[in-house]
Amino acid sequence: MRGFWYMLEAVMAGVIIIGFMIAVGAMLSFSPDEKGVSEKGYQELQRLADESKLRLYASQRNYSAIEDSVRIPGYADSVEICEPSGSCVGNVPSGEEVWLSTYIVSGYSSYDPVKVKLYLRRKE
Amino acid sequence: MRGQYFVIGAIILCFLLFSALPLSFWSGSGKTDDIRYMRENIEREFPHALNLGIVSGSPEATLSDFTEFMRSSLREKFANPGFVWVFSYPSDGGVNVTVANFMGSRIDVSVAVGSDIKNATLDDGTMMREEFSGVPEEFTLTLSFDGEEKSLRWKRDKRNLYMHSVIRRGENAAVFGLEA
Repeated sequence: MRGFWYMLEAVMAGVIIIGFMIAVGAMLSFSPDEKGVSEKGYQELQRLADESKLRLYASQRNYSAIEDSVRIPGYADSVEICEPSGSCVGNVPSGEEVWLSTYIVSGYSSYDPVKVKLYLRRKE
Repeated sequence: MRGQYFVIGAIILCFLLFSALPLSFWSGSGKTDDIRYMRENIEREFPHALNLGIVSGSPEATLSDFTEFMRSSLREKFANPGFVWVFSYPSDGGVNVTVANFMGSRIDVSVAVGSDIKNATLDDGTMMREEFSGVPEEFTLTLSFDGEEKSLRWKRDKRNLYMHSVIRRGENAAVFGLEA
């Protein structure tokens, strides 16, 4: 009978350690990627700004051209271009688990400030 | 009795591992320190806004408008930004200097070009314009406000901009200067 209790307690100890390891493993596999999504979005907008595409498309209010230019593997993107007045054109995704990156553009060939919002959602 | 040591040992081991992990590991999922990106956006976009303002012939109004837009955009991201900028451009052997306050509160400003010093109290969102005459081709402009002081070596016949920026969010803050 004593052997049974030893075994049961040893199993319980194993379950505690394995449970803890699974929790840590889940955090490790989840957090770096999730934390980096907005960062990836911002870097992508910055890349487009460096290529002058972002300025041009933003001045044309061509949100679909920005959407087509964004390439972040594993994520679906949608773009909104917002005026200082607050009115926006573009697509806002629905649902949860959406990451937002924002880049402010002063204009292309003339002063015309807008806010470019890039929404990223994990592809299913 | 001995089997219980396994359970106690497992709990102690988990506790030790838990203690060894940084707090941010458990609390930080989904949060990003995007102040760095706000700063990069400011550093890239303000010189561009200045150029567009110069092209349109109204650099001060353009910068002022863009500063207000940037400030309101950063506030949407729960940041508390503040800006003070000084802009100079040539005028008949001298320079015109404009200082704008977007710190969110009234500040006392002092601008010195050589020994010529001009002082003003600026409400949030307002500017001061001063003309300095008899300025050498290269001059030193000293801007002082709120305990901050910055000396800038500028060329008289050029358009010059310096912007002091502060972005705060909770315990995080970025304070930086931008020259263009």
